[in-house]
Amino acid sequence: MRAALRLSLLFIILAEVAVVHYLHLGHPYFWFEKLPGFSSLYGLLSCVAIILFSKWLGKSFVSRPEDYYD
Amino acid sequence: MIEWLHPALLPLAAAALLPALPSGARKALTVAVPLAALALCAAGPHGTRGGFEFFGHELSPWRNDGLSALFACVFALIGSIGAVYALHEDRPAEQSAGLVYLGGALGVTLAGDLLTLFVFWELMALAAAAIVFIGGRPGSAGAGMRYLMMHLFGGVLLLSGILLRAAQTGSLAFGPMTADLGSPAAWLIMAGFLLNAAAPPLGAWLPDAYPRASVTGAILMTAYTTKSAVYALIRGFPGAEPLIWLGAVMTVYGVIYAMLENDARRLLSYHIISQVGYMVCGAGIGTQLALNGASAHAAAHILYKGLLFMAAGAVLHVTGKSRLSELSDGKGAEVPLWRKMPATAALYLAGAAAISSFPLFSGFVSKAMTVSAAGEAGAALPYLMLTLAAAGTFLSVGLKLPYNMFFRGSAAAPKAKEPPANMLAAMALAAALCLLPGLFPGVLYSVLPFPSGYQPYTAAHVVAALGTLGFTALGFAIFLPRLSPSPSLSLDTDWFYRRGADALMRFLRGTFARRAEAARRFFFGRLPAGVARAAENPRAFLGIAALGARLYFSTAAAEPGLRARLEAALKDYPGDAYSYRPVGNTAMWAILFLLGYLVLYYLPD
Repeated sequence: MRAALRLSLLFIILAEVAVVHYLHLGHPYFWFEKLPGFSSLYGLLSCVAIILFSKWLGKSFVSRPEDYYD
Repeated sequence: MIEWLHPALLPLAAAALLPALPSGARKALTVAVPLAALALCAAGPHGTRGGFEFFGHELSPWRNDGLSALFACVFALIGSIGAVYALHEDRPAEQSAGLVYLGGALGVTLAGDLLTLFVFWELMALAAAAIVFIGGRPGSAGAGMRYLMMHLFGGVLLLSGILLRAAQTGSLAFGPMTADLGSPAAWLIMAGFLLNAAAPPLGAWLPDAYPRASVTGAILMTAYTTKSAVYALIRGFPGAEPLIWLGAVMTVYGVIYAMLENDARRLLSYHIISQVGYMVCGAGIGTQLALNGASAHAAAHILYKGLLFMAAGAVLHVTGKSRLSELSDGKGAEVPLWRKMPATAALYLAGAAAISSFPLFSGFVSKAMTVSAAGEAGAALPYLMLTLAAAGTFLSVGLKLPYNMFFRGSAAAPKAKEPPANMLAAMALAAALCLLPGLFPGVLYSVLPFPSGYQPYTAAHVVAALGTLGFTALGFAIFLPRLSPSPSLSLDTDWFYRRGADALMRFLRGTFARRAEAARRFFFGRLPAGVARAAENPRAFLGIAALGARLYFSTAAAEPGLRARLEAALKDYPGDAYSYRPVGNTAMWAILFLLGYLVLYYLPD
């Protein structure tokens, strides 16, 4: 199961590199979209950034006990 | 016959009629009336009808064109789906409020002038506040009051802008106002719209109120207020640049706050703000592709967000729980909730696939149009923010929420079962409507305001979407041990008015109440008593006052004499109040007063 998931991720990023980078099927709007595997890597980056930033924000400013306003 | 029947009047009339009907008829009406309104909106010929003169202004309450018709039809559609979802309950007040809410939303989308728009705008605010108020959840009443206050404030902004604009331009017509963004009138109108679109810092009312509506009442709320505001922005401010940035910020803000949230329906509420951000951004870009994208995304969003709220509501209805920390406490893990509610879980995942823009679902087409429009406009940073928010949406709505709600096991799971059939039917209908535009984009394009030849299913686009989704899932898997939900509350801009109201009440009850009591004692106690005392003998009183003044300014030598006279006068007070002076004196004073009046009268201004 785990191996299959890893394989499919590998397949996805290879497919993206192949389609965008070698077959030139996309029509990139910006320079960064021409980087190989941009969408996949940016997705991972976004996910990690959102998790870490929201954890930090919650701990440092935002999170309060549930009965804060009561 | 239907030429003159404004679609908004139908639900409003039904809402008034409803309380007099038996339960069965009420339920039938709540389902049928939105469908009738839908037919009127869809079949009505394009153009403006029913115009009339009102205090010298031309009002046109019924303008039907591509943009209005799309929003009005989807509003009516979700109204009917929401009514099916609520068939197992009999809550007459909520049914009536829901129909008024629909009437308001239809009135706003069909209004050809700003005054009509404002009237229906306020009607929506009242109906929605009522739905929250009677939600019957912990904290419903307070949240309903806060909702009402915020929206009345937004209404004041909007009305000020409208009146200012009418005074400046002499016209109430509702059309593009982007060119007038130099004037305060346009800014006020835009601020009023943005408050309803839940744009920060004016958007904290949304996650405050929506989770406190009832399971059934929340469905309509997720559709009407924010999306009618999106409609108003598309109509009124297409191409207004600040909206690009505001929308992009909204998408990220909603995603970040959703990550901190524990309550399922509040998490989904933050994602309304995030998704509305895409639409606001599209309105700001203002190209035909962007406006089409914003409209399409609004239509798709109403259906998939309704579906997500319905599924989370079904879990709440069955288990009595909506906190993820309670739904994933790990008890009964051998029978996770999805085994007891497989249909609900599957329908939730369909909605999650649509909001996460999986290929074959509506969000894939509608979100791509907006994001591509940002790309075509060359807005690199907004483009990156929208893409980041798309990953974040999948992370919390597509992974974190269903994982904790359906797959981890909870103490509530063993007793759980599927919700009533009408709830499942409503969800299935919404799920089908999430798939339809994804499978056949042409159907969606045919109802958009501008002609569209957008091609979402290109190889590059599909692999890019799968890449983003797949690697977001990888990030989720890596951080899984650290993503357990915990009960907490997130501070938002509602802190200012919730804590502010507390501080105001403390001030009113403490310092202000003491001052007011002192003032009351003076004005109703000492002052009237003093006046009464002075009135016993005004002449002697004035004499005493004059003596007091002379004593105050006297030299040391004169002081003892004056003091003695003052004490004597006080001792003698009030003494003989009548004076025996000749009539001539009185006559002289009267003449002097009249003379003074004459002088004042002829004094130049």
